Amino acid sequence: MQFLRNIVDKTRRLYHPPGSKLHKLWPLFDANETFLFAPDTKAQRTGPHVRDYADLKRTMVMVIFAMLPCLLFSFYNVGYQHFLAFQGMEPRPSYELGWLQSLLGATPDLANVTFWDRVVFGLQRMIPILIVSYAVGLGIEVGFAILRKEEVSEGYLVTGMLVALIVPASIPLWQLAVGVAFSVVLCKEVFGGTGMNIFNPALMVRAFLFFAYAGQMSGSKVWVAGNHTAGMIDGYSGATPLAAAANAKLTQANLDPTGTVASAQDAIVDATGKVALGWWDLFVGLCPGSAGETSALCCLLGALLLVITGIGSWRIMVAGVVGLFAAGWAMNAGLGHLDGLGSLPPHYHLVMGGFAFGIVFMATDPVSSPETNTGKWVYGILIGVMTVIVRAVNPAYPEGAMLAILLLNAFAPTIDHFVVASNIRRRLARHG
Amino acid sequence: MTTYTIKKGFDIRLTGAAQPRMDQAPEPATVRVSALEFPGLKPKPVVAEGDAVRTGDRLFFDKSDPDTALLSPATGKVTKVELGARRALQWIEIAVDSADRFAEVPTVTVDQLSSLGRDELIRRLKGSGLWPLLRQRPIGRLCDASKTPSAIYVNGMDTEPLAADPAVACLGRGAELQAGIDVLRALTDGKVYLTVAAGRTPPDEFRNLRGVEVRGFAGPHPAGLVGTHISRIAPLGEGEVAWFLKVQEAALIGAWVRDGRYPAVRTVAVAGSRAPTQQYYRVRQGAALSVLTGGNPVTGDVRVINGTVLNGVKVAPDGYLGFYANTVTLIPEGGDTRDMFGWGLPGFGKLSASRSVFSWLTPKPAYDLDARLNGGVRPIVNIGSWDRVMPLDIYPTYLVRAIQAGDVEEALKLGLLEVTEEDVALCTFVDHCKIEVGDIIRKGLDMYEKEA
Repeated sequence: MQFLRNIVDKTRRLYHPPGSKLHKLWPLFDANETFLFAPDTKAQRTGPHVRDYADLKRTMVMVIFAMLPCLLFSFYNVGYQHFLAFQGMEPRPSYELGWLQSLLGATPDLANVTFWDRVVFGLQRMIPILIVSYAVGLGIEVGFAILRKEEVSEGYLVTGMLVALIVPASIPLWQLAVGVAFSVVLCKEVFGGTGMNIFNPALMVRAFLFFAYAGQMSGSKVWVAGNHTAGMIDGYSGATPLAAAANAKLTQANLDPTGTVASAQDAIVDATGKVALGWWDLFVGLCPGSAGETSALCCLLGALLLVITGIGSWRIMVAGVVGLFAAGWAMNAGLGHLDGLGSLPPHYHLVMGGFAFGIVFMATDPVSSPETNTGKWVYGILIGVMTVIVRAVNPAYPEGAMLAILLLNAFAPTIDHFVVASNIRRRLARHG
Repeated sequence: MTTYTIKKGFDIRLTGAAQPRMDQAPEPATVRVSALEFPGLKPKPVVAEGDAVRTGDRLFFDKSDPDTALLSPATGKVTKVELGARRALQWIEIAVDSADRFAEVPTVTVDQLSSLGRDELIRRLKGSGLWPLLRQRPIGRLCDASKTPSAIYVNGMDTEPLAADPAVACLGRGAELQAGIDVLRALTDGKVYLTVAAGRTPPDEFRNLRGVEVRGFAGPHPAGLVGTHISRIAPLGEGEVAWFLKVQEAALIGAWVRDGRYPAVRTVAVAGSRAPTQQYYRVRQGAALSVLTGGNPVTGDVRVINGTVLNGVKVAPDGYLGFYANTVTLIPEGGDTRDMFGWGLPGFGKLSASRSVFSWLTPKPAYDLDARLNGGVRPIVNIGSWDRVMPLDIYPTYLVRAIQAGDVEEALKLGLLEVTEEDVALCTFVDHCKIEVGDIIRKGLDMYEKEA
């Protein structure tokens, strides 16, 4: 450790003080140095002379720890879906090895796919996604920090992983790079960087990709990753549970007049298209979807860590679930005669699509959510309600959580405004 | 006794609390009176280097209010009149003689209080050198004598880390305290409140006081701050002011009334993990700090603080006791210490109000903190940590942003006048973005004063 410290102290001279050879790159050095060793900045002459041990790095790292179950699960599920789909294809095409499979010499036995085959495939897709997400995002953040002569903020450490978990594992890497660059520059840095943005940067990546490259971000053909760089198993259709349930109306009314599909739940099937998935299957999350958001169980583990450490707001999470159930029941109770997702019981909404992931990791983003406790309740409930409305009423796109959170991000300052206004009125009443 | 329980807050549990033992500190060779401790006061010195002064002689007065003077805490010779930028007085140093001689100061007796009239009483109080002990809310600066306070708050408790216990500091000074309270009662048409820690029996010195309304406060810091007390007992209306002081300071005013001369002796708790002895001392006001640390200035990796770790001022180890100081805290500076991967380790044994530092699993009764920020300064990322330590009905992040945007009008609406830097010191302590909240609040108050 002392040895490392000596190296750091020696290198430091290149960057500091002002006027040294590489001083322009000081934020880059500082970011790396403080990653290794906490800064030794001291309290000023006045004011508090001692400080809490928590810093923003720790806060952000806790969120990353909270996402780890989802990330680990994605390593498995991406491979699981891949092989499940491959085995279901008729006629079965010849199997092509990807880069990691070739590197490790891990040729899967398609008749008998093992746990490690699935994980190796999952890593093969997820590692490049993580690398691209972090390299592009952090590169831009460091660039802006150097331009602004500020310390590099830790916000993107969380955003980078969020991005990797909410895109389909089949996404072309260049599209991901464009999406990250768009979001970090236009949704974060132009507002002033960490703490100043209005929208959650990770969700903006997804929204950008969704509208710019709809072919690779929606429909039923992208959710199972293939071997080619473009990602898809050609022609294979692995609908997400949400999409399947949304299509239940078509199945019922038009295609199958005898009505073998009794309700929306029954349309939810696994990647082979044959086995029906129940609530518990969806809760565990072995189903097609974005890389890291399919498992409500993993989201729940993350939520526990966020709530215990006080970093994620439990108010937003609880309110979101309350709103989701309220709206789900209202839909069921027959606001109109909605088939498809409108007839889905509310507890299904909880475990399908991106809602669980969104309400735990995205809606609780402290920067783009309301700051007042009352505001958090309103915000969370509205996210739940909007998620169900977008899912049930929007005919084009069954995933409502992303749009619901982005919409409420935009309204967060307004919600806070009304809460703060009532504080001001209370003050006037109290003080005359 | 009405008791208020504060729920939001945090007790910073530090090692090195002062034991309730009182000693007489040695006489200092030199004392200093600083003009920098009284913001808003425009100091004009009346002594020159080489002048002989007695205890209670005028050293400097306020140019905008010549009645207000600061007096010499010792008998001796003026050795230094330090001037700063634009010849503004910084401090005056006096070499102390062995024997005290007392100058005549304006006096008042308890019998005179009812007949004297408020204006005359204030004039004499200003001349006594003790006027700056009284301060006013809002703003938290010296009192504006032209306004009659709606109440006066005498603070008989202190919840700041390692702070001197007012009950210990006032031991055996019941009569002085009573005289001080009598003076305060003549200064307001409203009530004089004595706030005490609930849950423990107040000492006889407090219980036997006449003419005060006693209020109890329970809960974590800031349960002991006057800002909290005012917000619970009687929030200030538009244009109203309240005056406040510590109970030890009221006893000093009482000592002046009873003895008819300037009370130059203070009671100070010396505390903190780096303090050579952790106990109470009776010590001359403005004394060189070395008399509290065994004769020599402390050396090494130590931060010496005039006051508490939350609201004190860092001074050099060979510095001097402040006018208001009733606590001197010595903590490690934290010199060359840098925690490797501090952000990712569980953090057992590290004090935090946040459960993201897992010391809450294995709590210690007290922690030895140094002066490191433990992180880099970042823009506000609000995870509700300020809110959890703010018992006042304000939204601190919104208040801070209004001030940062220069919007005084909005800041006033959000409760700027209900706080001073000491009320938000805990916000600064817990903040994971390491923002100096107190500085921002003071900047807002300064902007307000300039506009008003």
